[in-house]
Amino acid sequence: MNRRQPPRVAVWILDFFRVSVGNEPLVGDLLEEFRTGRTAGWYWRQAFMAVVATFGQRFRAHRQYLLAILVGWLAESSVVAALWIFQIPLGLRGLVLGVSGLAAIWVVLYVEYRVRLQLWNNNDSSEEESDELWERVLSPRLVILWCFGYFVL
Amino acid sequence: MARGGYLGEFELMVVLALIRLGEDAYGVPISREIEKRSGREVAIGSVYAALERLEEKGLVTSRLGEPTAERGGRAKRYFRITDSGLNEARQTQRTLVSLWKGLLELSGSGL
Repeated sequence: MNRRQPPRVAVWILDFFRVSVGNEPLVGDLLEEFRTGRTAGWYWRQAFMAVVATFGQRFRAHRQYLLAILVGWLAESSVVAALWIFQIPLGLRGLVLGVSGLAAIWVVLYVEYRVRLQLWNNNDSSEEESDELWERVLSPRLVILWCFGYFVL
Repeated sequence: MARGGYLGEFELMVVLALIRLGEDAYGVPISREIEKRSGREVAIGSVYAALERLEEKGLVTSRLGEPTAERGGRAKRYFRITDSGLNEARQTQRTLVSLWKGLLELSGSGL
């Protein structure tokens, strides 16, 4: 049996964007086809398209969450615009931006959690696994985003 | 006139590939079939996205197979066209043929 391995980083990207969770057969198809002699470049292109397609599928399936992200973004933009228009002092501006930015990050993470929870439940997995998903996948990302948010602000 | 939306170009390709392959069609043979006929590389992710939309419309059904070692322990997802899917493909064919008829520019004689 051909045990050729696809590019590690591409596999990691598929895993990071959780294509493997919601679309496991797709990842299996990519591996099967790669082992018939496809190139690493082919795998990269396919992995990129798989991430894009999976995101599209998720957004289509969860339009209400997409709307929530849009509303969050608009609210954040309104805060930024108000701070600029009303010439709020610099220190206070940083504080307000920090709080609203973190709130926006929380909204996005919560939305992601709900989307994944729904996908997970659709796959007939248990509630414990959903909790594990939150712990394993979303918490580390929350820390990274938190740090990134503070750095930017 | 049939109710519901028309099949998009890529969706139609996927439906026709599914009809050609019959039973036990999954992502790899479907994308190979489209690649063979169109001569262009096909993203398996796009095939799945199209199949997902078709399934939502009730034009195809799917079931999971058993995980296999050569696929890294992942199962295959088998797709099958439904009666509504066949009707929709026929309707699209009729519409396209009707639109195509009498177009001299595309028949070769008009060039």
